[in-house]
Amino acid sequence: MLKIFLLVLFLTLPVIGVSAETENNLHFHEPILITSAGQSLDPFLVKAAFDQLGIMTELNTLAEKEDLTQFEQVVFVGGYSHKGISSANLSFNDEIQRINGLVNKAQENSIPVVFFYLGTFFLGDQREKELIQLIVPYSGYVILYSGCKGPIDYIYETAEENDIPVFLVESVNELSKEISGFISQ
Amino acid sequence: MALKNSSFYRSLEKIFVLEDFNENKTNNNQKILFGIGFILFSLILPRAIQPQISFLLEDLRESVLTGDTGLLLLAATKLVFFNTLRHSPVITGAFLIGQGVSSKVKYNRLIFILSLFIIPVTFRAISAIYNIQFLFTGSIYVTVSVILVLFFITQKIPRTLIKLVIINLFLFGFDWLEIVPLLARFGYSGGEIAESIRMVSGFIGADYILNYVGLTVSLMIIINAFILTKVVMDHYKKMFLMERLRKAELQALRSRYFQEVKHLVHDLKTPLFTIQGLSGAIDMMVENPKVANFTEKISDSVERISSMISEVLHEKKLSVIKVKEITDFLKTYLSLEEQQEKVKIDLMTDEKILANKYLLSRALINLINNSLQAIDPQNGLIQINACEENGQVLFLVKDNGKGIPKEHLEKIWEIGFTSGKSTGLGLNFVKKVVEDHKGEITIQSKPREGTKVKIFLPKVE
Repeated sequence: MLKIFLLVLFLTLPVIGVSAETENNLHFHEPILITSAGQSLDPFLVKAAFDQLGIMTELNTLAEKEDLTQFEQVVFVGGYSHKGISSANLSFNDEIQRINGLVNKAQENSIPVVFFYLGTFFLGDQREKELIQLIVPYSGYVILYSGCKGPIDYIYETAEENDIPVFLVESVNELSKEISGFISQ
Repeated sequence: MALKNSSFYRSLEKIFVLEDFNENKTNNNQKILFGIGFILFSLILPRAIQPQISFLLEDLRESVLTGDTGLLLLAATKLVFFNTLRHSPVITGAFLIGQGVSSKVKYNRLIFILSLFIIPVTFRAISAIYNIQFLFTGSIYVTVSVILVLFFITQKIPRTLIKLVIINLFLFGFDWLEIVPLLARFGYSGGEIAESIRMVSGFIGADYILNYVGLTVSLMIIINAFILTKVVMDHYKKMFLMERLRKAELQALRSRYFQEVKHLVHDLKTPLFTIQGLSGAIDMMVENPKVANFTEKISDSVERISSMISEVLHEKKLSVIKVKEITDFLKTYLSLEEQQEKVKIDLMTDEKILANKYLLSRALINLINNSLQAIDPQNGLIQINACEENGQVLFLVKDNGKGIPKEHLEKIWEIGFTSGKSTGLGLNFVKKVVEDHKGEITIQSKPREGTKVKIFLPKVE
């Protein structure tokens, strides 16, 4: 019996370890605004995962601070994309200002912020770090894909400095299952 | 019709269609120019494609939200098409520049390899211009490797167009591999959108379909490219063999032709002996001094003809003669020609040479005939000088005719090569005769200015 208990403990250690360390659980307050931070494709994956879980969300990759009023929570999905930015006819500065406005508005209205980072494609761009720095310090928690190609250490460090809990997702393909796992904790 | 007559069309035809451009410096320059054109085109192309990429991203986003595999497949197909469209001018431009530059220099293989560095440089330039990262992806690495292999195995194939078709087919096939999720594990990666497609494919459970479609289409294209390469190489191998066979046949023809001429000339000896004998008989039978004078002249002429026949029959037989004997022979020959007033012969030496008078004169007559065909009937002029230069005897045949195109200059000595109605044996014969005389022959020609042929022969003390 003790052996089985130890085995289960060993297998669930990564998730329990991170969560226990921060002494926090994942909570979602509906309706949720999902928006992009960098215009990558990742917010669409997150939206699809939330839809599979039946969580009420709205995806607006170009949401402005005025759009925030009708939501209880905002999820930023990070990931800088050259092609996404240019196809949205934005500059990087436009994107920074938009995110800043949203974060400030969320702070003013005490709307919880979540930073989601899947990092399915990363070019080693400094701009990715700028985006992370804009959102992570104001987030309630960070959900991070362990296999992401982005600056995972930098996200960890930023979260640690600001005492933000980090939840690790092991598989993007099973994203909804993993999120539901965190919710049930 | 107007397009076909344009100089641009002719340049394209020269570079991509005509078979003999490899030895043509002008076409190499044109290849470099077209290569630069392709590179410049590749710099402006991303701007034109950008709106299409936005539509593609829309398809991809929609496929994530709806889980629609068909939309994902459509986005993947569009991406491959646009990637090939963006990669193709860079690859084509670098290849053309590489071929053009390497054909002009000594270390052509090394220079070709070095010229392929144009590809990453262009990628960097595109990245800098559009503030994007135009990545040097897996398909480009493999395509560059294919270009190198093709360069070495198809060096003898002169058609650039067919090589470009093969290279671009391979490129298209390798671009398809970038969307195959299975290959990501082996480090065969693409750009941002290709990676996103792979991610979405995993997310909506379409890996199997994308693997299957990507690999099938890619393999079909790559196999076709291989087959085309093999067919082209076999075709040219066959053509080279046929060309060698044609030359061998011409050589045999030439040999038979001269053999028959020799038989004919040999047969001339019999009636000559009869003439000689009868002339002697007349001389003995008639005691008229006038008749004696005539028979003596007949006898001298027969002896001269006999001597000429002897030189024809024994072409290797050389004797010491004065240069004047050659120029006299030419003058005699030209006195029978209609255009004799266009030919000026200047003898400026009394040196002697070791020569077969008949063959050497025939060689010079060949050159004169070529000049007569090249000059303008109104203002044409042919100058023949026999003089001494650098301790050797020089025969110079110079005309102000239409000249020889650069691309033909290297080939004029080849047996069978002709730019007109001749047999293609003439200049090869001239060269052979000069070489048999231990001499040297050079040719200089400029289109619309004229041609200058110099024959240097060692003089005899």
